[in-house]
Amino acid sequence: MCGFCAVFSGVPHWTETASDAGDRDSDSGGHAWRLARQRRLAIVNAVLAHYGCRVADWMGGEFVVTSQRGRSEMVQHLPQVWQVAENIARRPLDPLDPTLLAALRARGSSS
Amino acid sequence: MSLYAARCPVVVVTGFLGSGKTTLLNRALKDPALSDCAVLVNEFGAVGLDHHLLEIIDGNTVLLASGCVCCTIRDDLKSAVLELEDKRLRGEVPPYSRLVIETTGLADPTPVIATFMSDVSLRHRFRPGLVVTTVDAAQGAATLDAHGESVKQAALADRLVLTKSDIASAAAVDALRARLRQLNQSAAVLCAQADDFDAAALLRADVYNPSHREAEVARWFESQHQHRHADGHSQHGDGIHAFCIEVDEALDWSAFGVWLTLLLHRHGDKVLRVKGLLNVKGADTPVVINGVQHLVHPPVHLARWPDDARHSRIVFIVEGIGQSVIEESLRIFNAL
Repeated sequence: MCGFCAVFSGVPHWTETASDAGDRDSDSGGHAWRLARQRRLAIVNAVLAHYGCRVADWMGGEFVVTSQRGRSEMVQHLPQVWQVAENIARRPLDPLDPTLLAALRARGSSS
Repeated sequence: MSLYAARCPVVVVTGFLGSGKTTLLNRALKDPALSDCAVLVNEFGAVGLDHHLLEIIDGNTVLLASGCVCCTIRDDLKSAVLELEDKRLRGEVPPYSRLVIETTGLADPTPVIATFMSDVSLRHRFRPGLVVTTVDAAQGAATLDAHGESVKQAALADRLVLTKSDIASAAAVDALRARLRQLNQSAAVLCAQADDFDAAALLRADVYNPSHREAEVARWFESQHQHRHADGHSQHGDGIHAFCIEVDEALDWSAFGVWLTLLLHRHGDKVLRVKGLLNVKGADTPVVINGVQHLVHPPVHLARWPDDARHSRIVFIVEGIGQSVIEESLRIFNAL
């Protein structure tokens, strides 16, 4: 638990437990883990841009999802990010949606 | 052994009414190697099991805040397990290192699994193990036609056990085997009447036990290999069906995690199982993923690749989603 804000840190989500960057506690100072988290955030933001929201890291343990109008919500895990973004966007986020895939394909080929 | 692997595995034995769950369990539990096994039976009627560590569960269900049916916490199950744990700690029941749950014939196994993965008071001591589904060889085809519950029980299985094959014709057994492979190509289909059938081994097998892991993962794709050669590539998108996608380029772990969490968020009710062996960028050894609907086990590494082909392969058991759209979506996310 964080001593300042009394936020309980839960069990790590599976996306953060094993990766090319290694386990959170096994690398020196968690540098690779932070890089992997930033990379995940960049990919999530590529998706959320299609729905008019964005996500940012908060203290390495939470995510803050924000709408274009500035409404923000704090969550712990990626599935919660999708749920909050869906509530903000007022439409389903679907990785099989052809319009989202077209937007991501265009982004991938331009970067 | 990792902390996750060290937790007590929970084996779910399911199957439609009268399909032989209790008979199978009785047979397995006679093996002295399973004397450290506790059994919970979700049954309203007479219990036909004779085991020294037996508890009965009453029916009750509590929905999680998300309201997702597949992530429903079984409050009755939780209470029964905590009571069993209290008895173990007080020395009223012997220590046990494996828990077996026999569901009712109409039960969806997913909430049972969800209870052990989601509940904070259980998930530090337990973890889901295999799902074993019994299918009556004589009545199985008719049951699958008439009852969606039985189709889901078969689709979620890690092992499918054909029972009563002695009273079914060979042609009916072969047809049922083929149908079950179409539904769930990653599960081994076993015949309880076969000479070499080892009922106790069903309850001991475990993908998270390091000594079983490689053989278990190889089994997922062995069935897939046979299925593909027998039936061709699955492209249909109707009903519950299974397919395996193979990706030659290494997967970006971050992109894969984002993609799969979003896929399960939107379509988790229709993605019944995901089992994969992943070639992850920067990793020397393959990563194993294993999910049931919205629930994904912590990924684990295999010590080595099972064969020379170092490409990712993922088995999906889905309802109403085509293979090509999932393949295309994964490739696009992986290129971000």
